[in-house]
Amino acid sequence: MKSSNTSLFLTELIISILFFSLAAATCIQLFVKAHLLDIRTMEQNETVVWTENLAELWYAGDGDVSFVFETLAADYDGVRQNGAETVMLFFDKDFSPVADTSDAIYCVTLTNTTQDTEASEQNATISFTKESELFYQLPLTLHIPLKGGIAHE
Amino acid sequence: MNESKKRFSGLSFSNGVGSSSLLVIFVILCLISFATLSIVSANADLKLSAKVLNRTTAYYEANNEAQQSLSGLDNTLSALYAASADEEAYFQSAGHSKSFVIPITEQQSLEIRVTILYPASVQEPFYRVDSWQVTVNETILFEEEEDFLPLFQ
Repeated sequence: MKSSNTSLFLTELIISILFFSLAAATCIQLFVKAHLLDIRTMEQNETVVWTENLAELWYAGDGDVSFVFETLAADYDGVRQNGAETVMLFFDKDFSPVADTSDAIYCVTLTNTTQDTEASEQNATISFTKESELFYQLPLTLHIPLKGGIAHE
Repeated sequence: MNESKKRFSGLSFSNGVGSSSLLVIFVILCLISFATLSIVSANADLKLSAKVLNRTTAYYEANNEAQQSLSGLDNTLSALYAASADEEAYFQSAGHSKSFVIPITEQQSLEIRVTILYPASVQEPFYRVDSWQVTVNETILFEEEEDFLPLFQ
């Protein structure tokens, strides 16, 4: 009688462990999926923040990339200027700025696409890459007002 | 009486049969609840951040369009300035103000108001931007009284 009870208990335990394993495997998949969604959410939130930061700085500097670089370099380490047209910012997996580019996962680039800096219409592009793969891009346009009075002088 | 007592003792967990199943069922239910909650929450956050990102993109697209409209206005004013004999003739053809409304989303628009200027010197522009603001297209109606916030007057 005791042996029958023990075997019944063990059988139940085995079946319980089996069901628990199946449920745990499914739930872990759901948790992993939630974590991946959370990472995507963080990327989108940071994309909004840095798009606005770079765009407004670029507008404030009348399309001058050097102005954007100097302003950001005063506060952040991971800022690089590549020529007169490009500013690059590097971030780690938590989207914190990093000075060492080898630790960088994300890179945000502001590129002035207008070659003539004196032109009345300036264009730029803000690009976000994750491990060299582009995931967001925004073109920007700025009109520098024409100066008058020439015709009547 | 003795028989019912015997039956009751047969259902008890004194021999351990059934207790592991109950524990596993409880743990599985907890796991499923937490996994569901985490994925629902992560999904809601992702949708919200995607909306914010789309709104930001839409705003800067409208901004680009506004800059191009200003560029067109500037060129027109420059041509009118060159063709006008005096200030009166210039304002007669150009008018004194201009406004643009560029849709951002279904509910919001970017509204720009400019005052047209007559440049007296080479350094003066043809217009001055008086307002550059996001406006709501339609009045949002609240149907429920609970939607209002009670404020002190």
